[in-house]
Order: sequence, then C-alpha cells, then structure tokens
Amino acid sequence: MSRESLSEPSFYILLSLSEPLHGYGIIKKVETLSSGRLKLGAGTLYGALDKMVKKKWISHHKPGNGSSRRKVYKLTLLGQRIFENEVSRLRELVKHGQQALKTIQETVDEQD
Amino acid sequence: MNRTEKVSKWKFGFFLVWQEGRESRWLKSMSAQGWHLKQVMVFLYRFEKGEPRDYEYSFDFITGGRTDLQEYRGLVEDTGWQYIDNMGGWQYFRIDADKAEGAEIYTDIDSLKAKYRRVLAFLCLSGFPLAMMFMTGSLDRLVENNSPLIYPIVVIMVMLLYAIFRLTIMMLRKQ
Repeated sequence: MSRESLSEPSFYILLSLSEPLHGYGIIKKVETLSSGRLKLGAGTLYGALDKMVKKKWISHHKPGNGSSRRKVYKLTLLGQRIFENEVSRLRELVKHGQQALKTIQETVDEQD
Repeated sequence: MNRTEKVSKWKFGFFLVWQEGRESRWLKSMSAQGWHLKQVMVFLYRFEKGEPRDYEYSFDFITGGRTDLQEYRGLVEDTGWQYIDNMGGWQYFRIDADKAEGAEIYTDIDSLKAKYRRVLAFLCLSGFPLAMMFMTGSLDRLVENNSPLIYPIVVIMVMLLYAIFRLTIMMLRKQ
C-alpha cells in the first residue's frame, strides 16, 4: 500500500464517499464540505474517479433500481484503509505541528 | 407531417488541435449571429438557425465505450453544460455565457494536462503506421517509383509532428 499523501481533491472525494454517491453528488458534497473553496470540474472528477476505480479504491455501487443514468460509487475496503491511513498521517502532522508551535512559543516567552 | 424544418448550413472551419481557443471563439461568434452548432465533422461544422445567444463552447478529448462516454457526458451536463456532438473523441459542449464562470470542465492543472496527454497519445498512435512505413523502407520505395502518394503522406507526417510539437509546448507552458 502506498504511503504517499493524497491530493486535496482525492482526499475530499474519498471523504465524500463515506456513503455511496454519484458523480454530481460528489461535486456538490465536496463543494459544501469545503465551504465552496474546492469546486471540482466534471472532467477533473471523471479522471480522478477513473483512476481510483483502476486502483480499486472505489467501485461501482449497483443500486436496486436501474432508473438512474448516473453511476453510483462507493469506497472499497482498500479505499477505506487508504483514507484511514491518510487521516492518521494528517493527525500526526497536526500533532507535530502543535508541538513545534508550543516550543516556538516557549522560546519566545523565555526571550521576553 | 407539417413539422417546420430548421434552417441549417454547413461551414468549413480549419482548426487544428492546439487552436481550441480560436475554434471556441469562432463558434461563440456564430451563436451571437443565431447560428448554433449542431454537428461536427472533420473541418466541417453544421449550424442551425435560431435566436442569437451568448454561448461559451468547450471541447474535451475522451474516448471510451458507449456507457463510459454516456456517464462522462451526463456528468458534464450535470454541471450545466449541453452536449452537442462527438468528433473522433472530441466532445463538444456549450453553456450559457452567464453560467460559464465556475463551471470549468477542468479545475486543476494535473487533469488538464492529462487531457492533452490523451490527445498526444492519440496523435502518436495515428502516426504509428506512417512511422512503420518510414522504418520498413516503404517510403523509400514510393520515392524511387515517383509515386504521387508520397505527397499526402509527407504532408500528414509533417502536420502530425508539428501537432505533437505544439501540444507538448502547450503542456510545458501550463506548468
């Protein structure tokens, strides 16, 4: 399993697939979650989904009613693990960042 | 049946792969005069007469099976675009100009570069038979026999090489 960090769009795509969702649903959810900061273009998302399906991070979810023309995606077990790993990596980053900030703050206080 | 046939006309338009900007501006200006794109063939465009509209045009290069393409087009349409036609992998879309902002099909540089990589791969692949002719000496034979076939082949080869060159430059500039 790769330990490289996920790009921000990839992270938000995996995050939004905590429940099965179709492409446009992902675009809307990512936009809402990031308070409008991350807007995924249709081509950009399509490419990302295609890559993730190939890496088996996500798969097509087959809903009971075949009425919708939209394909629904869901996380695979591998995708869940990739996402968990990324969250713990980020948690570690934040922890180290906060420790460093504390040290910086203490040095500043000593100097005063 | 008394259905009124829409007035339509074919127009010649010579645009090459790296001239997307020029092509979309031309289509936009046609729409401003009430001629809206309906169908695309190689260097030929069919327009239908309607009310003048301010449209933005965009093209994407995607190949794939029918269901994949349907899903892809559906997704682009979900974000406000209208699908027009497909010509050799090029997907033509339009959108009302006032809705175009924030509806870009590609929103990051990596995916945009991936699009041009797909075009490049396609061009290289179509140049493959020519390269084979070159390497196997078939071209030499055409030259020796003074075959007139050599001229279109050379023109196509030069155009392909130039297109590959221009696209590569365009991708490097997008860094």
